[in-house]
Amino acid sequence: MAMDRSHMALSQVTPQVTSNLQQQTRSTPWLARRHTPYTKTPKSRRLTCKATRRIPRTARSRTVTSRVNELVGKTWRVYSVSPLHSFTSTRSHLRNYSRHLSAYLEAERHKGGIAVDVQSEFGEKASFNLMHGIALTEEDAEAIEITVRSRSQNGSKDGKIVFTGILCSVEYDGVNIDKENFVALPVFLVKGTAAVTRHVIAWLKIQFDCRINMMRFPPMELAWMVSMWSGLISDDENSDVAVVRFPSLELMYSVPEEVKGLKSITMTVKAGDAKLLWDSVHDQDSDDFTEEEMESFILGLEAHFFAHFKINLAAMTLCRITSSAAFIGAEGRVKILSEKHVHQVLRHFTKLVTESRPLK
Amino acid sequence: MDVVLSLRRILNRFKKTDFVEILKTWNFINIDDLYASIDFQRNTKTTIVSRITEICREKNIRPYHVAQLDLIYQQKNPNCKNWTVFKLSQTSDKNGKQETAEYSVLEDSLRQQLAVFFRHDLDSRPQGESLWFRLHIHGIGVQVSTSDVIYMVYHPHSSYIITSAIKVTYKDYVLQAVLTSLKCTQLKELQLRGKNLKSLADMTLYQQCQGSFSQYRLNQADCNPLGRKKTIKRKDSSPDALRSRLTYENLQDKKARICKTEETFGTSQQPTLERLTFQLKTRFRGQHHIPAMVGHHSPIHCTVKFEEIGRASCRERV
Repeated sequence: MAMDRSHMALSQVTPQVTSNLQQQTRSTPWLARRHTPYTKTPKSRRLTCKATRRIPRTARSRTVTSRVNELVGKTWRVYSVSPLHSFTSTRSHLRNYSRHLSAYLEAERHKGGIAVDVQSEFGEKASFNLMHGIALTEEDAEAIEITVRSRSQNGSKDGKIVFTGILCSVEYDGVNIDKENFVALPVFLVKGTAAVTRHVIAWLKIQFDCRINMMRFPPMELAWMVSMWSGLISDDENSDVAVVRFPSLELMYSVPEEVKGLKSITMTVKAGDAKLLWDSVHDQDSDDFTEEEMESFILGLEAHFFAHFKINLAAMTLCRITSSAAFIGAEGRVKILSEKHVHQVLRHFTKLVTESRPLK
Repeated sequence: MDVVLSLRRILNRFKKTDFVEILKTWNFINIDDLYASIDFQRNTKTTIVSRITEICREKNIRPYHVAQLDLIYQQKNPNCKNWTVFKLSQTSDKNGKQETAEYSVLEDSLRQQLAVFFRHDLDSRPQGESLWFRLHIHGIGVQVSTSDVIYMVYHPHSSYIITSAIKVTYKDYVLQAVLTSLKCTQLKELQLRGKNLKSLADMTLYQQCQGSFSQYRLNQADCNPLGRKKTIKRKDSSPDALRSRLTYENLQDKKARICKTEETFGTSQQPTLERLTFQLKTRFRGQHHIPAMVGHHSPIHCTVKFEEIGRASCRERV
């Protein structure tokens, strides 16, 4: 930013030698944003999804069952994926990809001498499938599920699953991408052994010319997520019985290393009280959750803690949160707690991935 | 065969450096005989263990000896188990008779009470002021599992007993037997649990004597009247004094803080705390940031947990 301004100042001051100057001081090819490595905090975020679930139009027009509930209750590792080049989701292509990936894993096995997954003796077999029910808008590509099973001794019986990965996108509104050549599936949920994960990701990078990075959630993002989702207990279920069932709001802070004898501080607030706080912070009519509301919510909780313990939680690092929607860990782990919230959580992750990519 | 198997299991838990010391304390095998056939430095642990098991089998080892060995090992490494503290209370005894602190009497009465419920083996071994019990309950079948062995630490004349984990099926019976044998009427499980036995014992037994009062308990209050006082004042040759350009910005604050901490907690070593949980039910105190909560007087339920998730170095293998 500083350099750009100085360029502008120079060209304004000495217009007669502008042409000369411009040749020498051409505007930098790098983005202005490289000086600010972190993205700007948005002023507000949407709480709910814009679109309702769409029913896929298949040729045979039978309703395909939604597999959203398979995402619930499992701990996933989240990766961010740049748009995939020349990826097609027709059945024949998916079968091709399955064969390629199985061959790749087989090759890795021969290279290393042991199977990619240490437990399986006979190698692995991969398969690509469409996963319905996750994509919402017309813009979203249908989600893809990648499964790797270990081969058992008799080829007919399927071994146990050693890797599950789901490439998905919910309400993707990224920059205009070249729709003919690229497919945007920015969120990759992964559950599997470390070795197999590494190989599958390497193959995807080679095959589709994309970048796959582990998504980490800095404390600011965790604070946004916990503030947004604490109030998601819907009103019609607001009886005492229902509130007891919902997990409470939990914030886990890790203590700096200089403090000996203490590693983490966890603050848990009962679900009903968390909802009360959320209601008093949030403007009921709007669908957006603003930055001021998020700040008041978090600062209110920290002040409540400070009044009792005289410890400033803002000096600690937030490393794990629990809300009624999901458990989220700073190192990129997520566990979605109910089917209703799957779309909201995935929509938020899609937004985070698109925000973190620099705009052209 | 069963005895030899449990002996082997116990020996496998030892660290290589512990063998000589523990075997000397045990005194079942003559240590000089062992030195003849085992080189404790050079041989692998498996060889050492199998050699010792051989010798013990030849000497016809009995379960009692194995139990004693186990107790010695546990007393040396008390921080491997998860201990729970129980408080015993009795109805006011009119004649105020003191309970016996005879270890053998205690052991016998406990054995008698336990015999009502299970087939078991009970052994004891004193350590300092406390008495350790090792209770091995004979389950159905030949297989011996670690969950069938319960360790209990009792300080006679105190109203606390500390036990290791007890299986749910046995818990009620064991606690009933303990209650009857110690002639108490009520047993309450305290919210005090942890791995560090010494800290637990300190906190329960010397509850009124913590913090700055611990200086009296640990004999730090009175100075030694026969000790010589330093009369010659030596020059301060600490490295900080030499660097005269070093200044401390908030020396007064630091000193005040240290003074306050020492006043409250004392200068001795503090008991190790692994986890501290507070349950709060108070009015919301963050109203400065959330003005809409100003009118609310209903309490907010909050749980705060301070954790020290360190790993104590111990190995416990079956």
